[in-house]
Amino acid sequence: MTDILKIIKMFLIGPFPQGELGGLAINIILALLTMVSGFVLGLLLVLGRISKKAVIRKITTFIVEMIRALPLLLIVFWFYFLIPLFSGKTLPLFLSAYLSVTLYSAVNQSEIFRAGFMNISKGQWQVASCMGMSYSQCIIHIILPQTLRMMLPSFVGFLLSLFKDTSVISIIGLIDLTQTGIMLSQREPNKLVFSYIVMGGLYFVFCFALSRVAKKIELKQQGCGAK
Amino acid sequence: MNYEFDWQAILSGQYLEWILQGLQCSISLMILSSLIAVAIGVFVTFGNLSTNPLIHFISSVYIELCRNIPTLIWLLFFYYVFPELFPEKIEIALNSSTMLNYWAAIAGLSISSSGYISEIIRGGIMAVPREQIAAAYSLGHSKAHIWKYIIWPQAIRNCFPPLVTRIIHNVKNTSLALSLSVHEIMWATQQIESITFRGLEVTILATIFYLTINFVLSHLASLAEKHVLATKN
Repeated sequence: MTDILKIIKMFLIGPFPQGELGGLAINIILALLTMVSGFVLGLLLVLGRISKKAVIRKITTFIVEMIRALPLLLIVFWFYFLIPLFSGKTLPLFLSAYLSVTLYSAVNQSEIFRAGFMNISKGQWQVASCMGMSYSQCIIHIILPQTLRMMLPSFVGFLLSLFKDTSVISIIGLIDLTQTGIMLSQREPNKLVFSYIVMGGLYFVFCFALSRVAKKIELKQQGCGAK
Repeated sequence: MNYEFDWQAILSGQYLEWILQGLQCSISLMILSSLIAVAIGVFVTFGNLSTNPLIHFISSVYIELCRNIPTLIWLLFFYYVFPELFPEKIEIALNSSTMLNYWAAIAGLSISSSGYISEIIRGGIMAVPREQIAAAYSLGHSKAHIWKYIIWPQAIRNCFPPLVTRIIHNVKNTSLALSLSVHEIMWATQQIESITFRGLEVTILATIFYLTINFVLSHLASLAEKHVLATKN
């Protein structure tokens, strides 16, 4: 019984108090961190995409479209193998995972932002500038609050998919939930099915809870719209 | 930064062979897994729309399982755990098969996409106004007739754009088959990198490959939307 508890603890936080943090905790931390930094970077990217200067618009559109076409795994490899090639020193595993997932999260969140911006009528921009608001004031006080509220379900949905996608970093050797499962099942082949059930179960519980939250927000918003 | 590109080293002999084999394998993974995913998705949608509560429940559970477990876990499951669930004889036969990783990758990819696809198709069907169906019934059309001439043509138009997005996602996910050492393009780049240390060249190759595939797919999709699915008024 203590054996099973020990394994479940390994899945949740890895060998934490004695060793490095690992397991599910890594996935959660990475997903939250990259969600936040991707949010900021994504906002910058979308501001570039709707910029009045054609050069900036074209460059950001090119970057976003290109990175969106690449699998996350390939972005992770770019950071993991090629940054050391240029800088001469290797990045810590977690940092390179963090940078690559941030980039991935930024381009995807910039698309969510863009969808929200598109839904806001042109008239609002015009009215704001008529009232003497500057471009940045208009974005901060008028456009962003509406976009955030409108796209909240999409952001939660993206957090869900980001959380699932963080499993990819196990391929470069970070000891996250997936890698813990692989290692445990190889060390103790008689617990293979058990460890996969625990691993899948943990992912399922977290993602299912998040997807319910997203659905609830969406229903609440639709209810508000109908009134 | 002073890096000297050496394309000759990776585009010759055995390495070129690996790359070509990788391209072929990647493309076959993409096509097969997308087709199977759409087939399963349509099938599960019918289950989900069924009035029988048991069938509805089973298909809902299936959809939630597909959507809430990462694709990578599905791949690993089909490779490591799936053979274990059979009696010993079949297990040994499966484990000794050299194609196990390829088919495990296809199974994992298509199952994990099928949940999303079935939700998309269900959304497309639900968006068809109920009044039209009621009107068709009262005009005396049969059920099969209504599906063929009223529901499907509109549902396909409704769900085509999100379906394309999902298939492109699935195409990108085929790179995960690397974790089962399926000999696809990412595997080839990793092998060549570990032997020749020409990581930059091969990664650029893989990047160009994915960019091209996605470009072609999204253009085909917009062409199809314009010419085949456009409403003829």
